Amino acid sequence: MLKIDHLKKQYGAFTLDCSLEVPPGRITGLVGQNGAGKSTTFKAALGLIFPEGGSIRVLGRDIRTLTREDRQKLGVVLSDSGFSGYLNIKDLASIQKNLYETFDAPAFLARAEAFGLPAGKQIKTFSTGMKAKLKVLCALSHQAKLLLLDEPTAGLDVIARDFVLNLLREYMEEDEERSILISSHISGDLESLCDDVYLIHKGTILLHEDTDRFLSHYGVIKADPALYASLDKEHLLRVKKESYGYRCLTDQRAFYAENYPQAVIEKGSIDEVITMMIQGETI
Amino acid sequence: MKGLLLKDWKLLLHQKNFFLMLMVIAAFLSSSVSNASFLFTYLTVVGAMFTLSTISYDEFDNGNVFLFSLPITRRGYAGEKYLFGLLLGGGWYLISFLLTSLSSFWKTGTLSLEILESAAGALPSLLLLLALMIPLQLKFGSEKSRVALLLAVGAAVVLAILGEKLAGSLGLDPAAALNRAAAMPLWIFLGLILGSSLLLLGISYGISVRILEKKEF
Repeated sequence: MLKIDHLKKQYGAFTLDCSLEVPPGRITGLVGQNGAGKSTTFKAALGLIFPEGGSIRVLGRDIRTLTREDRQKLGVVLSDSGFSGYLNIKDLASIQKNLYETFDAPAFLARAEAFGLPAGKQIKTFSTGMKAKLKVLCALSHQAKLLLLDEPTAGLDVIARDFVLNLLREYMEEDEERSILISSHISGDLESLCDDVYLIHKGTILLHEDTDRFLSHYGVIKADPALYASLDKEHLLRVKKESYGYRCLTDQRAFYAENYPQAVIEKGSIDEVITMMIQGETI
Repeated sequence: MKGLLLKDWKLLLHQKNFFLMLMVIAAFLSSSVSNASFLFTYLTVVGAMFTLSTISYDEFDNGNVFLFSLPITRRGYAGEKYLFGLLLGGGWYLISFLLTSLSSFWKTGTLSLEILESAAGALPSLLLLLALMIPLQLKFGSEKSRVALLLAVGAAVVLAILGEKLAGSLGLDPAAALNRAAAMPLWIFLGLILGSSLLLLGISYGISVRILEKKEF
């Protein structure tokens, strides 16, 4: 569905060098700090910026040769951009009907009403949550094969986030060939939604792992200096000095639990892995 | 392109009060101003300016990033702006024609030749405005494009003065050439101006496409 191979883009001192793949039927997450390169990756995948190197294939075609018909198969949410705030939902229905052959205007309007979005009010008067719901609703209303969602839950409260994530789950259940690339800096969202996650930092992919493996294999060992000295370091990915000793990230939690029963080992989470991968040191 | 035209039309409808005001001014001018040419040019140009405001709407709040992720092409977007400008300017052009004709008919009982000449003369204004402003606005955005327009007009004046001096030093007489052009039958003269304006509009469209194809969002 989407294949990015060594995408390169330079902005002053910032260099993006990113490779990732979203196969059919998968929800892939892209996590990282603000300014890590998530939005640049999305913009490149949408052909909005011109890479200085590498290749991007969307729906099996080079991004530079993507046609209008191909673009109809994409559903896009961008956190800092959308339809003009001067338009209303009725306007969006008629505009999208003329942009997408498969756009279902009555269903769009019915769902908007069900979501509590007033059809006749200008979008600029909507709350953050309403705007976010509307963006996702637009992306889901034309049977897109690939959803590219950059921070679709940014600025939302827990209930609204859950609502949006449920919409995405339902959308995937309707057709097993559909795929999603979603970015967020709220890793809890991704843990519950994604099949796999890429961690991007300073323009480079630091880690790619199946979400299940994050949760089942990764762990953080809290070790005092004596325990740390005795630890087998082979499976430690990162180490961070703490007041009590050392905090160690491993992708072999079971190994350490079995061989060091006295060690305090916390289960892995994407947040923990991000923090350790970025702040910790390699051995 | 239909989707984009519809978007711009919907954006325009949200300025309907301004449109109504323009209609009132038009009606007032058509009954009080004897110079039909002024009315034609004023209404057509103001009407066409709305096209430029739709470019500003697209840019506002980082909107272009999302807009160009939709199933449109950069060439199609440029084409739509010219088409929208022609449709809108053309719409106001027809309104001007209708109002001045009615006014003339009311006052004199006939349709004066001046109205037809003014109508023909206003068209190049519309085409030249679109040809100049659309690429400037796409390249520099709504704020900087005004400065760019001033610079472009300034540069055109400087070039004209330099051209006149150069022609003088080569023994050519631009004033005589202008006199010869003015001596042509009016309809041929207007036809030439209109043809040149259309050619410039075509060149301008090509430039706009190039600007958009090189633009990052």
